[in-house]
Amino acid sequence: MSGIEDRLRDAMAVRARMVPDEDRPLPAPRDARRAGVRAAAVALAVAATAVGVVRLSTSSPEAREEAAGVMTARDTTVSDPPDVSIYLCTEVSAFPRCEGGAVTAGEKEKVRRMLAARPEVRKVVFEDRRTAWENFRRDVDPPEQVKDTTLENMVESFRVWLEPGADPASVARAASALPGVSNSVMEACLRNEPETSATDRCGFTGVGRA
Amino acid sequence: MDRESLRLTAPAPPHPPPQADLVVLYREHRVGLVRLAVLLVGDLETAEDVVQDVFARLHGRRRPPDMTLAYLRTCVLNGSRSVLRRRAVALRRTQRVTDLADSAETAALVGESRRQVLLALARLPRRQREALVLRYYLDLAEREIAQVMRIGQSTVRSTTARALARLLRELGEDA
Repeated sequence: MSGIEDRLRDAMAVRARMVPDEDRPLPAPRDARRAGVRAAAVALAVAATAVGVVRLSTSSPEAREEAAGVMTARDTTVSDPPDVSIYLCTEVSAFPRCEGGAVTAGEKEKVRRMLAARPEVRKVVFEDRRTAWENFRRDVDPPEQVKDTTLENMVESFRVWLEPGADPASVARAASALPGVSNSVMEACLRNEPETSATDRCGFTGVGRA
Repeated sequence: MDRESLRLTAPAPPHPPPQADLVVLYREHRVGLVRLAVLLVGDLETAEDVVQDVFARLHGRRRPPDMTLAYLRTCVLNGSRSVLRRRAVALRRTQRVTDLADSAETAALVGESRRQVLLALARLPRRQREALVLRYYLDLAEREIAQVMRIGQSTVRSTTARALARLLRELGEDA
């Protein structure tokens, strides 16, 4: 039997070696269903956030492909979680800091400008209620909670990615000082301590409107 | 959950594999997986497509926590099967696809003797070809072959034996 085995080994090894060892870029994600969400999230991020802070910007095919490969508000929470989440007041916010109603466009703009001014901020994505709702529906366990939660329970937020080694606390604290912010959370801290008592240690609540 | 804690805990992801893992796996194993695929499907262009498709799909969705080389090889096996099924349908053949779609240049480079072996390999039933490639090209142990092919080890043994016997008949080898 060794004759045929050797011939097999030899023929396959030679044929395989003919495949050149070349570098190629990782192909863009292929998922028809997500393509629509991704495009919408990119448009949203571009419209809503400061220039220079967000990577998802130009309309060139390479940039779109990189953007599709880099992240959206939906995909990033799975593959590359943000360092800081800044939650914004809604009409029905339970936080006493949100007295006076939902966050205004001007207040959102102030948060964006604060983030843009900080060199340690690498990327910012604005997550609207619809995206938050879809992420929640996909991620939350057990599914029973999903039935009780509606779009109105969802809040808008800014998801912030920092440069390696940056201190999330200073960004989170600064955000919580701005009007229209209900609270901010340091995500890595929260992941390490899932008990609800840790929320005090892992976040800052907003100081409200003067 | 009240609204306050909901806001604080909802976005935390459940320990997903980082994007970096896929990039590293791609860089380290892409060529090896194309080489595996070329032995399963017969031509380089199709093999490249199979492997690109595997990574494009993995890139686009939640990935399994145990994304190992064995898992990637299983994906390549599945992708190769699909391609060959589609090719057979497209050619409206009732028999198995027997042609190596490789270029004449490739055929010339491997030499006639090896070409006969590769042609005979391409004529095997899909599972027999897979078993032989995993054993005699990748040098995997029986247990590993079983893992990649998602079959039992005894099935690996019997499939391999049948495949070798068939090649012996086709190639007229002396025992």
